[in-house]
Amino acid sequence: MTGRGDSGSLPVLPQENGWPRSIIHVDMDAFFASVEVLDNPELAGLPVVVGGTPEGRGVVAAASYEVRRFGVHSAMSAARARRLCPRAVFLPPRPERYAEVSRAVFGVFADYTPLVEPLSIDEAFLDVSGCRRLHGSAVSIGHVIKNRIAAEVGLTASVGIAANKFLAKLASDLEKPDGFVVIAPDEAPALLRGLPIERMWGVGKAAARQLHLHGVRTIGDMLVIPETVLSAKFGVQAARWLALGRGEDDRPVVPAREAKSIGNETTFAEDITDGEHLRGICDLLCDKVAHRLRMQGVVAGTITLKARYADFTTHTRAATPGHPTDSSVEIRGIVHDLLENRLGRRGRALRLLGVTASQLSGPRPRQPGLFDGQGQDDRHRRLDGVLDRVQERFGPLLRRGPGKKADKSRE
Amino acid sequence: MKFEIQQEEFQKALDLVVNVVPAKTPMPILTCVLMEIVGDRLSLSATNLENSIVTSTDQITVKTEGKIAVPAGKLVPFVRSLRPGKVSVSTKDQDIQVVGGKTRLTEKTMKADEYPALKPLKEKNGFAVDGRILVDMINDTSYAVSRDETRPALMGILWEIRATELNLVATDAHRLALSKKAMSWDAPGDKDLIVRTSGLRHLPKIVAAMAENDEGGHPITIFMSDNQLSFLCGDTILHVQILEGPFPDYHAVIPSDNDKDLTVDKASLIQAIRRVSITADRMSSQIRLGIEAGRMELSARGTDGSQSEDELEISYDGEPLEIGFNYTYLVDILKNIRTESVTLSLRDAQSAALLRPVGDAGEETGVLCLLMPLRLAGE
Repeated sequence: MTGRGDSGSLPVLPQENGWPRSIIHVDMDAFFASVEVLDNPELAGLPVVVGGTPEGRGVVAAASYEVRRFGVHSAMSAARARRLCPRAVFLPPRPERYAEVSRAVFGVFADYTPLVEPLSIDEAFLDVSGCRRLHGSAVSIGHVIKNRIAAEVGLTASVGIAANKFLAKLASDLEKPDGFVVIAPDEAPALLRGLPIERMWGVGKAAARQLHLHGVRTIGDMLVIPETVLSAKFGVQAARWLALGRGEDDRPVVPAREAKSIGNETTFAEDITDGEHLRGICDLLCDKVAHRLRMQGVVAGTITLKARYADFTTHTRAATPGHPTDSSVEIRGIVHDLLENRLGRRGRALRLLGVTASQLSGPRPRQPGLFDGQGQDDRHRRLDGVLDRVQERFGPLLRRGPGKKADKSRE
Repeated sequence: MKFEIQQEEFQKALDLVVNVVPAKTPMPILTCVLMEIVGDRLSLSATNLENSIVTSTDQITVKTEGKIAVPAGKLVPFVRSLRPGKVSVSTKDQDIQVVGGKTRLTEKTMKADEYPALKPLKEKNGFAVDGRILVDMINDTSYAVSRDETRPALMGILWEIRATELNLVATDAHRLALSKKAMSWDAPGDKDLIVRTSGLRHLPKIVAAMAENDEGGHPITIFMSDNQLSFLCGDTILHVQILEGPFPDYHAVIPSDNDKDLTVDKASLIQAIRRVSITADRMSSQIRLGIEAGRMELSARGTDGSQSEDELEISYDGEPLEIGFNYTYLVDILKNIRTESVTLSLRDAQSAALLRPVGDAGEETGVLCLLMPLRLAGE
């Protein structure tokens, strides 16, 4: 086993040879805001907010580190951001440009391993376990990637390296921005014990609140609780939490196209029976999913409807459109058909509906028709574009009407 | 009913009609061939309610007249399997018996009265035309029709019947094929009909089975009615359903300002497309054509990063242009062009391309094809 990684230009940490896997997590620093600064160097050092308007409408999509010091963060309303930092520069998002820069970054990853799992437009896991002989150790690959992104793209990234996905993601976050952190397997337990429980993958706000009630504030607090006790309270996820808490995570790095989907679901305040009402909810979900598809520049080959009845039985129905789509109208049509003709609801009440787009693929060339000017398709596509731009600027204020369908006879 | 017929004659007549018998139907009677003897003629009919074929022969020895409906599923393969020679057909109660030599088939018949009646032709409406011209025009266009049942008008071929001209147009909204021929015929005034393509596809076989006349022609007579177009071809009649319009306004989309004309050897172009298509994205089937003076560069890039290129010599001296196409459409059009050279007329990467066959002496063939290029998402 000696000599592995000798081809790397940087020293190999000897302990890396004993790692079960070598996972790198790369997370771009304040990505959208950094791209704006890259393209407009006069913004450097200024508090930059992407999304929303200076008048305080819309939602913050990204915030530079300068403005984060004032407490501004993404998903905050622009009005609040302006109150926190009145001199912030508000910029409209440019999704095409971010996608372009993202492709350049992912192009760097592809030079080292085919096992790249994008988590979003600016964040990915890389499994380099199999490439150490070719490209050197994970640490040297991580350095080279970080330096190449700085030199070739002009942006900083935070890099985390560990033997699994959970620890690698944790590592990239530890010294953000411009961080570079390696967590070796034998360092993990001590590091994890002191971390707040919220830092664990899969522990959301609700679960954290429950854990706090049981006196669990850190991962270390949780590890001393016997599994049977934790399982009794939190069910199947308890075993996974304990494994993660010990620094164990065997989730594989799954390259993009097989695993990804985009979905939205909603649980109703009260069970709903009325077909018209359910269709309206489907329309909202479809529009959200279609908007997200278009923002990521992908089209979906499969559309799935998920429905949960009042008795918690859950059914899913899927359909394959004639061609991969990102069109609100087409996805609505497919989901209406699934809801009305394929679900077999027979008037029963539902408590949850979800719409998921999967079999995603990159932007495809579109085949325009000879008679497009004579038909409807073009108008719907243009309306999608207009609504997307409205949503970028003002948030989800406007949406499509229910369409022409007024068939109530089925219910 | 009782008659005798030669095996070859019987098989030929059955083969002509059996193709319209539907494989699946909610009406079992439609799985039958209707056999009828009136006077000294045997007539065989089949229909799927959209298209119908009737053929008749007097090459029989009639013993007794009659009319029966026989399921085609066993009768036709049985007759095909018989050795050449005399075949006798007879009915007894509800059964039909077919005997060739020592080989015998007994089969239940259905009620002939339930078989849908076919409308007789009104002789005075007919006008004559050479069948081979129609067959060529149908072959030049039918590949371009739509298979999308939600747009039924596009599943048909538009017939623009004019006093001295016939135009056939087929389109699936992405590509279009037009065949235009000058006609010297007695067509009764201008008429636009959308004619079901599945019915027209029977015409080549029927014309091929016709006896040639003294001049080597295949004279057929066309009859128009409100809901069908009928073709009398010797002893055989084909009725084809007319579809509801509207047909899209195709005149409006035939470009007149495509200024980049190039001529290319059809077989070489098809081969080059096939070679680069190996790496084309499977969902969009996109290939790119880069055109510049004297050469065409073909390339295709897969989503997995694979890429292929090829190059062809062309006669072209205009500005460079790069344009994307779905290669399956392009090959489809090229395969159905019957000349060795093809002219491609382009304007820009967004406008429909015009393809025309080039005859040996550069003569006008009357055939014209349109194909919309592919556009990248967001363009």
